[in-house]
Amino acid sequence: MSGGGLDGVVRDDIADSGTMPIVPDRGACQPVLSLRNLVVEFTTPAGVVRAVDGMSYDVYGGETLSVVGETGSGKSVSVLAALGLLQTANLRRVSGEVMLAGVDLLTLPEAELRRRLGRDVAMIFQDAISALNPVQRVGEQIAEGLRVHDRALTANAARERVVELLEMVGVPHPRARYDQYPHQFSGGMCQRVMIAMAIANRPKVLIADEPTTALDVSVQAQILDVLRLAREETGAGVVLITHDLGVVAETADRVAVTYGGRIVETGDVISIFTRPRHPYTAALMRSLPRLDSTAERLLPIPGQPPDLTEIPPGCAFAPRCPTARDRSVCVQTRPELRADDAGTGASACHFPDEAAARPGTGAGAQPLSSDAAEPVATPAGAGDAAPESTVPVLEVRDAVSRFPVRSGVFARATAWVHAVDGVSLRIPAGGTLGLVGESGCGKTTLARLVLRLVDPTGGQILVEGDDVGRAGRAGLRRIRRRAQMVFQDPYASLNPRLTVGDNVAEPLRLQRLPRARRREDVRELFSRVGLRPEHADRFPAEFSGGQRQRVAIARALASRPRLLILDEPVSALDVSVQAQVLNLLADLQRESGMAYLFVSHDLSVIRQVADQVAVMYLGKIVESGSVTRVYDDPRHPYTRSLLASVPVPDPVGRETRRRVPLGGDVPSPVNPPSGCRFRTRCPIAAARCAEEEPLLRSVAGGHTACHFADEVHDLVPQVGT
Amino acid sequence: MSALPAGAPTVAPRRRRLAAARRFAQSRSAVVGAVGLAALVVMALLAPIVAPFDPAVQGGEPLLGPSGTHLLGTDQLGRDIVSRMIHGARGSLLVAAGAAAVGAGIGVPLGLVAGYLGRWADAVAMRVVDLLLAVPGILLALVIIAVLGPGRLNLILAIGIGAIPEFARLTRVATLEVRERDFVLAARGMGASTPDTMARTVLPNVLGPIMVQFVITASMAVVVEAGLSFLGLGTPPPAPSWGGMLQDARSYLYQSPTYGLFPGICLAATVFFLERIGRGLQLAVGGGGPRAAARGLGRGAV
Repeated sequence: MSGGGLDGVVRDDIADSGTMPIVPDRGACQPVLSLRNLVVEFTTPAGVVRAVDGMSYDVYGGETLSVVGETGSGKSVSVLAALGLLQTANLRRVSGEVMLAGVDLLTLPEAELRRRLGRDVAMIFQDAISALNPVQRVGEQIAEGLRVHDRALTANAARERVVELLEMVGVPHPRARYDQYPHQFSGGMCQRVMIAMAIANRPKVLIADEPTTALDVSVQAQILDVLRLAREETGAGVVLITHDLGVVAETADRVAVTYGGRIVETGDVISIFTRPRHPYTAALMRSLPRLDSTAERLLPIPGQPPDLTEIPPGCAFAPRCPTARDRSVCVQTRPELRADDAGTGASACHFPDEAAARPGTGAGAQPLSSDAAEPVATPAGAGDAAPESTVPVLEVRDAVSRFPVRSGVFARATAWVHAVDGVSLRIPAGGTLGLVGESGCGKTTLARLVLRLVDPTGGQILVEGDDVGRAGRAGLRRIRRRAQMVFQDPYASLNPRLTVGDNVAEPLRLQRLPRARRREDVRELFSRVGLRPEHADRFPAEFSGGQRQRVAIARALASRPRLLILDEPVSALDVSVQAQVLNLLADLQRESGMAYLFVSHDLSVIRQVADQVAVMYLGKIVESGSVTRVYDDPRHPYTRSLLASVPVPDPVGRETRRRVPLGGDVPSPVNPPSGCRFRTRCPIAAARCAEEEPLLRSVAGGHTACHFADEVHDLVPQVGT
Repeated sequence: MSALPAGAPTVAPRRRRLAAARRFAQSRSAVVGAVGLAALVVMALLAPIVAPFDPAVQGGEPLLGPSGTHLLGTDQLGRDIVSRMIHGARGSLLVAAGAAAVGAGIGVPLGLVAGYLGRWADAVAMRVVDLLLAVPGILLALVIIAVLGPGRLNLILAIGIGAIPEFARLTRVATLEVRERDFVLAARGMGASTPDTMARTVLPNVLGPIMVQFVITASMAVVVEAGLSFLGLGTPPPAPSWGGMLQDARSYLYQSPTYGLFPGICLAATVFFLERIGRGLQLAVGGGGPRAAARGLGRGAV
């Protein structure tokens, strides 16, 4: 079916390859891996789920093909099924063709297939720490992979080769590290080891499934560099599966966009970003919060991803598509993947030219102008509009939180983790403070301190003037009514044994509201967050991630709080849904004038929602100020490096863009470095930094804790060296 | 009390229960167990009507073989074996349900408190449990009966107390896991008190494995009751019980082989049905939500 359509594309591609400078050797060889009309089905209690619905794509040696799509679009499943790695008992069917070096992998007997895995094709998984065997030395794990495929290799030769590989992927002291165990490696280092393992046998195809999703931005930048190096070193074709358009724009040569188990568009990276020819691709670009954007409002994709148990006869995207409108052809006939006139890409849309012509789709080419053209809804209740004279909704003074590290027979505290170490901040009514930092910097602990879900070790936290630390039982209950929390994972934060309605009603029940009032309030809350009130008696499991997060927000709103603490509220959600939730939060704030403490690792999201920003590093705030001050005139080298590490979703000019990945990992908060805590990774650290701790001081209209905050401005060119 | 599967403690609202019931019904062996047990329960409830004779009346000739009037013959005192078996079901099932209820009633709160509060509460509760665990179950039951004297209520207590450690440990472990989940933190963040959080948020989320344990304990209790009756410490005569019948039959194994056969079959069938139900429940309630259960169903096509 669709395989036929794509076959044409492929031939066109090969014939036309001379005009494709980004993949120099493509015309010379056959694709190293090609999927043809792959179908994967699972049996579930809800019916047969067709997770992959006729997917076809090719990867050529030396190129990076990025398969990008949202959760459940079939991007990972297609690869796992192709390599025979899907072992679940409810797997119903895998059909189609997976050609690797002229052999169809799906027809191979298990033993033959296994011989090819790791030799001709290797995988890099998202969670590198759990992908490594915890009881085997790291070096031996790589050596084992070598010797399985080359029996003649001696132990010594294997060891030498492994050390070479470790050195190549940037593991420092490879000889010593060879004999260490995975737990002695950080997440980023584990991912380097995984890459070393994957390229050990010089495979023809390297498949990386969300290789950086579990990592911090600064480490992500390092790993993407290593991946690029690995590709150059081995000449392998890389399939990079990701949901992150920024990563795609930074690394891919070609892109395949998946939706509803199919590929809806393919093309080279620049045309995908600048001239998308499928409305889904275009809408995805628009819904992305951007570091360089000044848009007040995101443009989310309405609705929910398709239900894969009932794939519609027409285009899977039609119900959410702005181009489809009421056209019957979109609902009735499934569009096949068709090559465009230039032969460089293909789109599965009946009206590819309309998708390309829609305003705002040129986001990659001219982000600022297109963003400016978008409707601007001004949040009236923004922080600066609120009267400054009143008591701030949240005031934190020198908050400290330490956890004991217990060891020994008597579980005595032998060391302390300084999770939050003297942090002060304030949020006025209607204001949003964005708290940003890498994992382990203490931002979540700080958020929990506000509700005293974690007991403070020192300092003072005032919610509308009431001291949280000193509050008695009743006082604390009052405070917890005025300040509510929304958690990161909407799958974990709702009680699965209560209906969503009862979940939302919990705070009201605790306030001893009569049942009838509760039901009334729940109905109202549901419609406020954009849920259908008649769904109140369903269970959380029946909802998607975005809908659950709406339920969680409704629950937080139930007690009419003055302060919402949002702990990574959108990081578990897909881009299109993330935009919906961010817009919802903006609307709610405008209506009610709530203050937000918005915790996130995602700098683009923070830029979108916050008016004040605080950057945390190892339990301390290193820089704070207005969004424009921190993003446009960062004075702390850490802020600068973070901003430079964020992948920009714009492939144009990526070669010339300065990328200054931060070296190393965040040091352990048990033994923070003396003086300035950032000095171990700081490109401009001097002797003074080790001796004297820089205090947060007023710099250029914001606050920065760096000895060289005034000079950093001039030191930009040296930051990378 | 008698309807074990439906009567197991559940706080879950209707819709969830329906979904779980559907999954339960999908497992054929679980349905066999439920139907079988329901038949036994009905038989026990209607014993005075169903049974052809009074089980305590020594009417006929002793140790008769199966015949038209006495389907399975008579025992050494000339009592109808069918009637005694039917009435014996009452005792066995009552003890099973009662003992499981006693074990869960004490063990679950103990485990919940220990797991949720941790620290000294955990230490105290678990040492008590260890103490109970240190004594073999049957010995514990013997001692308790020796102290309290025989009788059906004491039997229930004896077996039930022996089941406390299982419930307490299981609940504690499940609580430890649930305690760390975000929705428990969310409940605290809403201003819920500790008892409220334990009862309303944690307990419903640990009920799944507890229900399974409830059924397992019930089947264990049937066996222990028979064992104690066999030793003459169970249901006091002349009230019939399967274990007591087995003990009596032992002496007449050569004269009347069918005497002991059928109480034994009843006993085995009850344990089998309960075990099937436990298995079905395990699949139906799964570890966490329906997704886990779906995975379980996919894997365990028993």
